[in-house]
Amino acid sequence: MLQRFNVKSIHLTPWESSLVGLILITLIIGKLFSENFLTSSNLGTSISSTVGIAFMIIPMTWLIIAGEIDLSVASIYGLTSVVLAYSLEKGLSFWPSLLISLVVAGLAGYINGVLVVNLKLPSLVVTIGTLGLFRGIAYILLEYRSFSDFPTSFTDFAQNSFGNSPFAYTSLPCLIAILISGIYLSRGLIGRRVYAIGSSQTVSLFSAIRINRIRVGLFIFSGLVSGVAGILFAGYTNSSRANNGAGLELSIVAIVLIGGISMYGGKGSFFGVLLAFILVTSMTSLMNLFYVSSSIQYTLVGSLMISSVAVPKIFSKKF
Amino acid sequence: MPNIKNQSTALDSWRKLTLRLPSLPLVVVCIFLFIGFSLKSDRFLTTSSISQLLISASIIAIVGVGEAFVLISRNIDVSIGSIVGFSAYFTAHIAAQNHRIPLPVVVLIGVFIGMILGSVNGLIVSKLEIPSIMVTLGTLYVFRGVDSMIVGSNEVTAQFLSKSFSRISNWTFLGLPGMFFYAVVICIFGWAVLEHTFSGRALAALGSNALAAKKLGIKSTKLVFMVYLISGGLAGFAGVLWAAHYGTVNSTTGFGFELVVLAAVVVGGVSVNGGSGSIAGVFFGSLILGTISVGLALVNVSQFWVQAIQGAAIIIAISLEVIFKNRQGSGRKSNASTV
Repeated sequence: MLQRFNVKSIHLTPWESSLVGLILITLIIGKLFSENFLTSSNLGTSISSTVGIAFMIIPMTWLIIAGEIDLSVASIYGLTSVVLAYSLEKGLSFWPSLLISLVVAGLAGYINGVLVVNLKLPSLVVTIGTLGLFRGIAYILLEYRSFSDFPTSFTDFAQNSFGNSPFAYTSLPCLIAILISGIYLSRGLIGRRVYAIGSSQTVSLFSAIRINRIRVGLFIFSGLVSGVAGILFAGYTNSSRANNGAGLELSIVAIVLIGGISMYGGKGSFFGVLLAFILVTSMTSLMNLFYVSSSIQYTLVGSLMISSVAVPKIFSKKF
Repeated sequence: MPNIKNQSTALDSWRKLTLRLPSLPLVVVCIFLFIGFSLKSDRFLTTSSISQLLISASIIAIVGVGEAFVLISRNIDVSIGSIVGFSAYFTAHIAAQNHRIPLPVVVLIGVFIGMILGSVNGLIVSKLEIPSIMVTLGTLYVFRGVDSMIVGSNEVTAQFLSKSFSRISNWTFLGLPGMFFYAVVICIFGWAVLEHTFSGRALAALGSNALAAKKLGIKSTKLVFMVYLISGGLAGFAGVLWAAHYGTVNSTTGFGFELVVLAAVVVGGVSVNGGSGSIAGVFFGSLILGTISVGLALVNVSQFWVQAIQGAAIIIAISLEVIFKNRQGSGRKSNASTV
C-alpha cells in the first residue's frame, strides 16, 4: 500500500510537467523581480485569500469530469454569505444562521441538480439562469448594504493562522478536503463512477450505476462547498455583500480546465488541477504585488483558460 | 359531461392555434404584463414609458437575433455583454474626439469592432471545435479586460458627444422611437435569413443533428464562424445604439447584458438544445423582458429584483420547453421551427 505513494511511482504527464514548468517560471520571475514574493507573509496572504477557491475547485473538477458544469458557484458563494448576514441581522444567533445558510447553499445546488437531471436540461444554460437568480436573491436580501457584524470567534477563525506560520486555520480543513477528494476521485467507488458517467452515460446506466442520483449529488456537493467557501470568505474579509465573489466562476472553471480536465468529461486528474491552482494563485499573487489591475488579471486568466483548451486541439490537428 | 368536453375542445383549438402561431403564448404574456402594469401604475401607459420600454426591448432584440442564431447552431455566446460595452465605448470615444466624422462611418466602425470580436469567438469555436461556453466565457472576461485596460477610469459623457451622434438613436417616426425600427428591420432580416435561405435552414439542420448535417455536405465550420460574426456584428451595432441613446459610457457598459439577452431568447422559445427557434419569438421575448424591466421600475419594485427575475425567466422558459415537448411528443421540434 505504501509503495504506491513512493516518489519514484509519481510520473507526470506532459501536461502536468508543463504546468510544473510554468509554476517554476512564475516563481523564478517573482523571486527575481520582487523581494516580497517568496516570503512567508506573502505566502500567508495567498493561502488565506485563496482558501475559498481551493475548496471550490473540488466539486467543479468532479462536475466537469462527470460531463456537467456549474456556472452558478459564485452566485451561491455570494448568496450563502448574504443569507448568513441576513439571519444574523434578524437576530438569530450564529450557529442557527450558519445552519440556515448551509441549507440554502445545499438547496441551491439541489435546484440545479433537479433541473439538469430530472428535466434533462443542459447544465450550462440552467446554471447561467441560476447564476442570475441566486445573485438576484442575494441583492434582494441585502441590497447595497454591507454586513460586518459577525461574532469575533468566527472572524478570528477565518482570519488567523496557526501561531506565526503562514498557514491559516481554514487551510487545514481545506487541505484535508483536497486530499480526501483527490484520493477518492482517483481510487474511490464514487470517484470511478463519476469518470464512468463522464465517459458515457449510457454505458454507465447499463453498468447499474445510479447516474441520476450521483449527478444530483454532485450538484448538491457543489452548492454546499460553494456555500462553505462563501461563508469563510465573508469571515475572512469580515463583510457580506451581495456581490461577494462576482465573476469567481471564471477562475474556478479556468483552473479546472488549465489542470487538464477534459471539457468533454471523463478524463483528467485532480493532481493536474492542484498544479493549475498553484500556478494561477502564484500568478495572481505576483500580479497583486505589482499592482496589476484586476481587469488585466481577468484577461490573463481568461486567455490561459482558452489556450489550455485550444493548445491540445491545435497539436492534435497537426497543422 | 359536456362541460369537460367543451374545455378539451377549447384546449385543442388553442393547441392548434399555437401550432400555427407559436408566438401566440408570448403575445398573451405580453398583454397580461401590460394590463398588470397599467393597473398597478398610471404612469405605465404613457408615451414616455412606452417608448422607454420599446427602446430597451429593441436593444435586447437586436443582440437577441444574433444570440438566437448562435443558439440554433447549438452553441452559445456569453461574451456579447462585453462586445456591446467594447463597441459602445470606442464608437462614443471616436465620435467625441472628432465631431465631423460622418455618422454612417461611426456606425460601421461599431459594427466592425463587434465583428472582429465575434470572429475571434467564431474562429476558436469553429476551427478548433472547442465547446463554445469555454471559449465565450473566456472571451467575456478577455474582451472586458482589454476594454478596461484601454479605457481605465475614463468615461465619455453626453456633453462630449455631438448632437448628431445621439441622432443615430433618438429619432422618432409615427411617435415610435427609432430604435424600434432598427430592431424590426433586423428581426425581419434575421427571419428571412433563418427561414428562407439555404444557410438558414442548414443552420437549423446543423443545430438539430450535427452529424447528419455534415453527412449532407453542410459546411459546419463556415456556418458556425458566420454565426459568431453575425452575433458580434449585431452586438457591435447595439453598442453604437447604446452609446447614442444613453450618452454615458465607460468600461462597465453592458456588464451582465448577456443574461438579459439569453433570458429574452429562451423566453422567445429558441431551444437551448439547438435546431429550433423563431425570430418572432425572440422579438416578443425581448418585448417581455423590456416590459418587465421598465414596468418594475414604475411600480416601485426595487431594481434588485430585476436580475433574479431574469434568471428565473431563463429557468422557467427552458423548463416549460421540456415539459411541453414531453407532452406533445417529438413532433414539436419541427413544428416550432416553421414559422
